[in-house]
Amino acid sequence: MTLILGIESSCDETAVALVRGDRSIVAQAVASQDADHRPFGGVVPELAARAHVEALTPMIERVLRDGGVRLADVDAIAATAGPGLIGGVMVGLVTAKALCLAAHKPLLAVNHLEGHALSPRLVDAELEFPYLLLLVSGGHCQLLAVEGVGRYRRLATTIDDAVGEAFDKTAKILGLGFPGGPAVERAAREGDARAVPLPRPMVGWPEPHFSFAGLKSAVLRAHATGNYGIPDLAASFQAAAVDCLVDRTQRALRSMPEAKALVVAGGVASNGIVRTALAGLAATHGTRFVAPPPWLCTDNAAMIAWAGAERLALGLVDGLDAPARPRWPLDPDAEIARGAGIKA
Amino acid sequence: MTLALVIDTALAAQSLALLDGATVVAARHGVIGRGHAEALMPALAALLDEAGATPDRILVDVGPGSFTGLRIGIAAARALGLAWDVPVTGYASLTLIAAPVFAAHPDTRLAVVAEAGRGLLYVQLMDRDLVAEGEPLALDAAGVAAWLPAGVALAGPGAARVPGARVLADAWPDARDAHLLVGAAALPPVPLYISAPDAVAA
Ligand SMILES: Nc1ncnc2c1ncn2[C@@H]1O[C@H](COP(=O)(O)OP(=O)(O)OP(=O)(O)O)[C@@H](O)[C@H]1O
Repeated sequence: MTLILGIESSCDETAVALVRGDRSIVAQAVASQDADHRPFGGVVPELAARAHVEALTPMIERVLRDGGVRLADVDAIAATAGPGLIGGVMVGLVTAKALCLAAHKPLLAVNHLEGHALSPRLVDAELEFPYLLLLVSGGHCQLLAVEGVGRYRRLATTIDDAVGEAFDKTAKILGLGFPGGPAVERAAREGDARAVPLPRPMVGWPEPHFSFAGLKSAVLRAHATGNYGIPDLAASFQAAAVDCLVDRTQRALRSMPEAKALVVAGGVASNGIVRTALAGLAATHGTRFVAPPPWLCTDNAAMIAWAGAERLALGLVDGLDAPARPRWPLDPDAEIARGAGIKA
Repeated sequence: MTLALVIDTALAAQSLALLDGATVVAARHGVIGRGHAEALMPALAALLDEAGATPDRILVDVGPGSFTGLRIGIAAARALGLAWDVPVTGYASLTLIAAPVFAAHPDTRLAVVAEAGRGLLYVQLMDRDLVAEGEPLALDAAGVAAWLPAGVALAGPGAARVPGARVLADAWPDARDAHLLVGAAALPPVPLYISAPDAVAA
């Protein structure tokens, strides 16, 4: 059975995993750099790159040991080659290339977003193409028609902030700390989602895209009035963000009748309210709903190893000159959404 | 024979060598600027093919240098060390620049420089045993001229930019010279980050 070593280093998590073609996870490790970045209220690229280079090789040794596996037993090595913070991506990709060179293994230069997009298939053997994917993370907010490995059609993207970014900025405004998503979700549990009137940007619009900048600004203004408590602000923000996600996803579902399932992936997919709302939408539509477990939603290397396994099965291997790419859209043919020039 | 693989991507040069003692078994040396991430592995593959043997140890430049270049060389060295199960040690970029200069001019008092980007130079005094005096600094060319003690010559990439200095060599570090590092300190394979006072990243 194929055995893939996966490496992820594109943001602030250093991660290594060993995954088999039969979907079993042999061993894995994730080291979060949250503590390094917390004083800055966001990820500092240079600090991230420094932490990756220190942590990565010892982590690979440990994961191999935990799995009782020698490098020689591995069939191929997969690493995130972008998109992401280029300093960290380079560390992971060069490490993978060097292992491939020394151990004579094929390299799989994986698109991080493809890792997210295919991650539901790692935990659900029944999930078939095509499916509608809502990819929601700190850097991305997209609806994609996933037609096969390496075949993605972007149906919608954000014209300003990603939804995870909106969670992070809201957390900052409310003084809830970093990383923001889980903090907002926690605070929201004590709050009333109807307490603060907030806008739902793009909801009901004929255009397919997302927008979250206006919502974040509205949170800032509402907070500044001093009229609302933190839990109510958090709960109302979260409810507005979820309404936006559901409305846009519903529109995309209608435009993709061939979809065999609605799938959500990316860090924001670990949010319980988001999952419940999307599950409800899928039920109304009579569509299957698949959400990977929360640990597979945030950055990890198992999804990179799995995407590598899917690519290896199709013979899609890469050369040792594979580039590290700061930007790398899953659907290179997608038109640039207005205002979204810098987002993939 | 014990074969040492030397990886130097700290500065604009990509310099690789396989050394058996002082004998160069295979080498690659070129100034490539910023493309280390893409260029390193194909060049290493060709080098190893040419030698047809697996190294017994790895030496890697740990800086000072471009932060990105350092991380690429060090990540590669550490991963190769893991895969081959061979030791990896670091050396300071400025010692590899100094070593051939002292071989040619043993009685010189020397300060070594290297381009630090954004017009700055790393600079450090070094004795003939390749022991550095004080920490490396990052200064502009005029700053180096003002800092340079009387009677001390300069060597290293960018030395010619320093007004009034006596320049012995203006070359990038060359992996083929690594056999001259015998007496120099063996450093752990982690980057030596030196920033100019106002700089965070290179
Ligand atoms: N429970 C949660 N509720 C809401 N948002 C969350 C939750 N948990 C994590 N997030 C958000 O998910 C994001 C992190 O996601 P992830 O680790 O997938 O990707 P990323 O590195 O930010 O971005 P990308 O994958 O696009 O490069 C952050 O913005 C974080 O706030």
